[in-house]
Amino acid sequence: MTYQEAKYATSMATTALAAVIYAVRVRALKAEGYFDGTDGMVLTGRAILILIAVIVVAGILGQILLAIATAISGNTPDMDEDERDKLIDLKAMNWAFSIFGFGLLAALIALALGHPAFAVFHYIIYAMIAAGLCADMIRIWLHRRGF
Amino acid sequence: MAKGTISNNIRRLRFDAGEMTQKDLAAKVGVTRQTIVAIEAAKYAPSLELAFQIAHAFGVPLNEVFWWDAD
Repeated sequence: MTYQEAKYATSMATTALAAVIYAVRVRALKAEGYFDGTDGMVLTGRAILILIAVIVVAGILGQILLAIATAISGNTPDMDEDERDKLIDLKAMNWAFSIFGFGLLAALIALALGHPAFAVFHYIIYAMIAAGLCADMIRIWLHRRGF
Repeated sequence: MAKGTISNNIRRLRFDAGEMTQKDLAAKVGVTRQTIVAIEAAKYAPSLELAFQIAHAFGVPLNEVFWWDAD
C-alpha cells in the first residue's frame, strides 16, 4: 500500500469510526427522549455540529499519526501530490457530489412523505458521510488501477 | 471522436539511460513514482507538459517517447 492509499484508508477509518460512535450515542439519547420537546432541533443541530468537528479533528489526528508511523518505519514515501493525484481527486469528488445529491434528494422525499425533521437531518448527514467514504474508496481504487 | 491508445517507450528509454529507475525519473520530472508506473503501463495519459518534461529528461523529441495508435 502506497502512502497515498494509506492516507485515504486512514481518512475512511476515522470518518467511519466517528460516524458509528455518533450513531450509537445519538440512538441511545433518542431512546431516552433527549431530542424530544421544543428545543429538540436545537440539540440535534448541536449534536451534528459536534459530529462534524469530531470528524475533522479525528481526520487531522489520523493523518498526523500516519505521518509519524511512516517516519518511524524508515520509509521515504512520495508525500507530494502530482497531476494524477489531482485528477483522481476530481473524479472522486464528482462521485461524492453525485452520491450526496442522491442522498439529499432521498432525504427531501422522506421529508415530503412525513418523516420527522430529526430523521431527515440525519439522512442528510449520513449521505454526506457516505459520499466522503465512497470518495476515499474511489481514490484508492483509481490509485491501484493507475487512473 | 476516434478512440485510440497512447503508447510509450519509457521502459526502453530508461534502459538506454543506464537503467534509470522509475524513482529517478519521477524525481526529474516532479511527479510520484506511482505516476511513472501508471504512465509506463499506459494506464494514465500524462498532460502535455509532463509528456514534454519526460521527453526532455531523456533528451529526445516527444514523438520518440509517446505515440498514438488508432484502434
